[in-house]
Amino acid sequence: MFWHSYKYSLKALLKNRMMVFWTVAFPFILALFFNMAFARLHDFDVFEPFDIAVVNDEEYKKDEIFDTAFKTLGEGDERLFNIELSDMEHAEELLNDGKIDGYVYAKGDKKEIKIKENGTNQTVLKMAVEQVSQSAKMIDDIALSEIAKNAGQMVDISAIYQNAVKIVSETEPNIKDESHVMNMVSVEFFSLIAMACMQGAMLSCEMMNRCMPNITNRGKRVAVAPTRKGVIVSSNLLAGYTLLFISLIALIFFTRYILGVEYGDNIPLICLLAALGSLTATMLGMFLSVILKTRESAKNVIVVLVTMVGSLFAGMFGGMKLFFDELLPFVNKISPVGLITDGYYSLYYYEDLTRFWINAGTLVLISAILFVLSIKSLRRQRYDSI
Amino acid sequence: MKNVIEVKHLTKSYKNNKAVDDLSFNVQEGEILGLLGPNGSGKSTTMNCILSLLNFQDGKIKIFGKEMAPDAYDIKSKIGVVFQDVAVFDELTVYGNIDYFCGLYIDDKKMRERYVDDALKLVGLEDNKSQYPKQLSGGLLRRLNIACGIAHKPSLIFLDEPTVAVDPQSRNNILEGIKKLRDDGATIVYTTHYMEEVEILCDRVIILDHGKIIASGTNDELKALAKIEEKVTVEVADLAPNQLSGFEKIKNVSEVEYDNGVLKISYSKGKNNLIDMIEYLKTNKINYKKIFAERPTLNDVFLELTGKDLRD
Amino acid sequence: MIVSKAFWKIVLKNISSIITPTIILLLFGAISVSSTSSTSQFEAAEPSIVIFNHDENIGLTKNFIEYIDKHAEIKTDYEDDDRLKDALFYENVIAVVDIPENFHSDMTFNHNPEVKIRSSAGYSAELAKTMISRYLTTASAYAKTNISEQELISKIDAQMENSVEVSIDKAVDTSKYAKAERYFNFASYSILSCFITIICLIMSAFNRTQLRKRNLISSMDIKKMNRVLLKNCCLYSLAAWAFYFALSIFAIGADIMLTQYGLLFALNSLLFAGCATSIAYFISTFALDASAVNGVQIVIALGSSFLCGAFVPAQYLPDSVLAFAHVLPSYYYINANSKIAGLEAFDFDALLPILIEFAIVIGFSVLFIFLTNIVAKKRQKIA
Repeated sequence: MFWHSYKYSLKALLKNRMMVFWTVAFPFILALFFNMAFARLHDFDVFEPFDIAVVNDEEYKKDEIFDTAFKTLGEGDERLFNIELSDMEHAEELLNDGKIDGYVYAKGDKKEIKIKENGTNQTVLKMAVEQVSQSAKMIDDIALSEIAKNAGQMVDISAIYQNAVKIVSETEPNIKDESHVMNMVSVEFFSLIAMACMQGAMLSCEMMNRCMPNITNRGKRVAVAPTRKGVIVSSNLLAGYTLLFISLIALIFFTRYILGVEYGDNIPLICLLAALGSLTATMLGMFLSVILKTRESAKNVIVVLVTMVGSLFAGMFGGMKLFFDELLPFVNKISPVGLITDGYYSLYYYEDLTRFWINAGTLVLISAILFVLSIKSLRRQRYDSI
Repeated sequence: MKNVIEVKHLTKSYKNNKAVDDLSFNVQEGEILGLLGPNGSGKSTTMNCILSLLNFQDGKIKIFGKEMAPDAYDIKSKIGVVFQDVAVFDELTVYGNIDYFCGLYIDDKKMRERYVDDALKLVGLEDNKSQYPKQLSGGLLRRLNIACGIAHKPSLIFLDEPTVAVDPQSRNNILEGIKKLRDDGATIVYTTHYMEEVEILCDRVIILDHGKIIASGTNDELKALAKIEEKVTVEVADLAPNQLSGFEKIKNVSEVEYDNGVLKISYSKGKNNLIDMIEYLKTNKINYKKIFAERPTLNDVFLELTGKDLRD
Repeated sequence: MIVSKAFWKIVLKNISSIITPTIILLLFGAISVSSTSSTSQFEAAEPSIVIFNHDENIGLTKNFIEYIDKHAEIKTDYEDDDRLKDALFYENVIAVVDIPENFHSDMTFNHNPEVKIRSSAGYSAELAKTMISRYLTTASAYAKTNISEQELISKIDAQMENSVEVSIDKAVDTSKYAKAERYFNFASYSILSCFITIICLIMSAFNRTQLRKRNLISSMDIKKMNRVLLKNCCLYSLAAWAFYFALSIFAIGADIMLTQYGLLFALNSLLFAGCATSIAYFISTFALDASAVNGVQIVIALGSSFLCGAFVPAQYLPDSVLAFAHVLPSYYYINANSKIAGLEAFDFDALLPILIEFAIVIGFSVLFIFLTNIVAKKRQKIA
């Protein structure tokens, strides 16, 4: 009986184009859009060299150390930028036409940069020029103090300079980089998964409506059949749950293996979270169907509210999660979308699983509360009006 | 005769409105019982109460000798219900729908297959088996709705206005099907506001109004309630006042009405009053175009009992 | 006019489907105005750095912190916990610097102490790291020359002051129009999604076969009827556009919106609204049902917005995506927005590129009207 009802519920569900679109196709489409939009941000470590110009006049050529050192930055595969040597007029023209991001010229013994607007490339250029000219200066400075120290004695100036170059070029800062570099774009996808998951509440709401004699005629027909209500309800909900869970897992694997979104390696827990999220969505849909006596569209509005506002808070639209966390800290602690997003985030970013289990536990708790709230209404067999 | 359904003092009210008011009746095995009444007279509510879908304030309902309850699954398994509104899955085919609802009653796959085929045959949808509900016309959809309700061969069937807004062909098919179900041994409760259907189909009729039984019995028993036994209608173009009063003196005539060239004469007794009438017309040299006699209908009974038409 | 009346009644019935994208626009507008964090990843602002100093705040250590303070914003309200980890992940904090015990003396005596850095990903973090490593390199290079801490500090200071002069060649500061640009880029989503939803729902209500038959046999001239419908669609679009513009004054401020720049933004969005109307009208000729309309709306509105850079600035999109975006009107609308925001003068030469974008958007509108006519002609019989 259970499987008979389950089989047909699932079959009918798969035929429902609108349901399938919203719960299955829509998240996939969104994932593709996300991938296109964030593709560049995604590969942030692929640094693209940009174009600059150097005004190669007499004044500039005087500073040999700078010239040689700077030019090395424009050479090779790991170059920072492509350097075009030109005169002042041409450089100005290139800048105005937007062909280069900025140009470097010498003014006295100082270097100056001209740019059109502030940006990352411009900052990189400024830093590079500073670094190179500072190194050059430092060599000078160290060499000169050495010469000054030995004032009155015969010194090998070139040896002193060589030594200074050695000191400067061989000095490495003792920095231990303990960055746990993670891809922020992943969170966009985490919240997308979470949104797709909670969108599934629409599924279970619809499945539940089919079992309720006070909502649909089909519900009446089911109610007069000699089948336990529990069997009918659970088989319908399980059908909705099946579709939701499978489509979520498909979405996760699609984003992970085709789009290259990073989730970390704990596959069992990744799937567990999808299962728990689907459970919460299913319970929410059941709750809405059983408790709310409003029109169908009003229920859908609530689902949209829970999913879209939840996703906004969870950071789906441009990583504003922290902004909202500081503004209204409790929302992401109880919003299922927030919990699922944070669950995936903690799986990916934290080695310690405490935070993950807190999120997972809260999801179970919310599901349980929704279930308990619905059960009284669910157990009712006769209605005051239908 | 065994009572299949016993309803005692059933009362159901919505807020201040009593939808069913102290209703008691029995349904006997093998009969087609018609529940007749205008819209809003409490027919569907009565049915939903019997089926334990609705709460009710007072009363006892027994089906097959046992008290009906939402979890009385042994009773439910022998009941088939066809609701007023079409209740099918748009996403399943005709066959799938019948199979699904039949499967809620019958586990055995082979048996179900046979039952579904029988149901398809009964309602004449064999050729539409793989179509989807959206592809069916209104009448065919109604037939599917019926097939979904009775495919498991129940011994007690409730039909709630199954012919509303149905084309004549489908209506005939549906009525034939219901007769066949009865002939196969089912007991049927048939709810409608079409008195013609009740007259053709039902062995016994209960007439409801405002949640109360205002009359019950066989067709003939009910018609006996009407004060008239025959009506004769004559089209007479021209009639003098003295000629009109002459009609009232004819044997058994209880009432004479003349309006706009149509003369309606009601007889309180007898069956063959038409011959006397023609005689009278001849002797008085009254020209007439059309003349016909009819037996009273349930509408006349209803009119007699409530002072209003059924169709209102 | 009975047709118009029916039209607006249907609009009111469907008001809820307009409200959602509008609220999202409002939220987005409000957030983009009030917060800078959402865009920090695109601009090289001063990085936020958290310092955990395990040394005394004296001498070289003090100097190091002062140096960082000069080039970055030092955040002090963080503990070394999950909140800090989250902030690093979301780039609210770009880097965390751990200064070890005895840093100042170890540095002076050329022991080259180890400084721990934890940074977030991306450009800003790289720049922050460069900035810090520059100080440490300088310090350890001078430390090799055996000088006192005091001398070391003054040498480092002298070196660090040596910054490069950067001149920005710009006639006017146009950066203040960036907010307006963001708002109107985002509005392209709201406009497309509202217009397609409403116009398709209304037209499909009028075009539903049964109703269409009734309309066709009514005594009203069908062409006139279509004209009235089209007129009302345009009226609706105009009203919705006016609302979005009014909203922009509220969200961005009258000081920006009620200038030549603001009016150019408005004109651009008006042209785009016209184009969106023609697209919506074109789609409506296919007489889709409500659920299909929703699907089409999502794909077109979200698709155009993502592909053309309404949400993420176009310069961050892959070239292949941008190449494809050329077939979408949103691309030219968003291009025009960016050109308006960067406009330096109001002469013909400067305005010409913007006018070209305008012309392309108008061209799209004409194209869709043309296509609508072709399709509508084919569908004149009820079939």
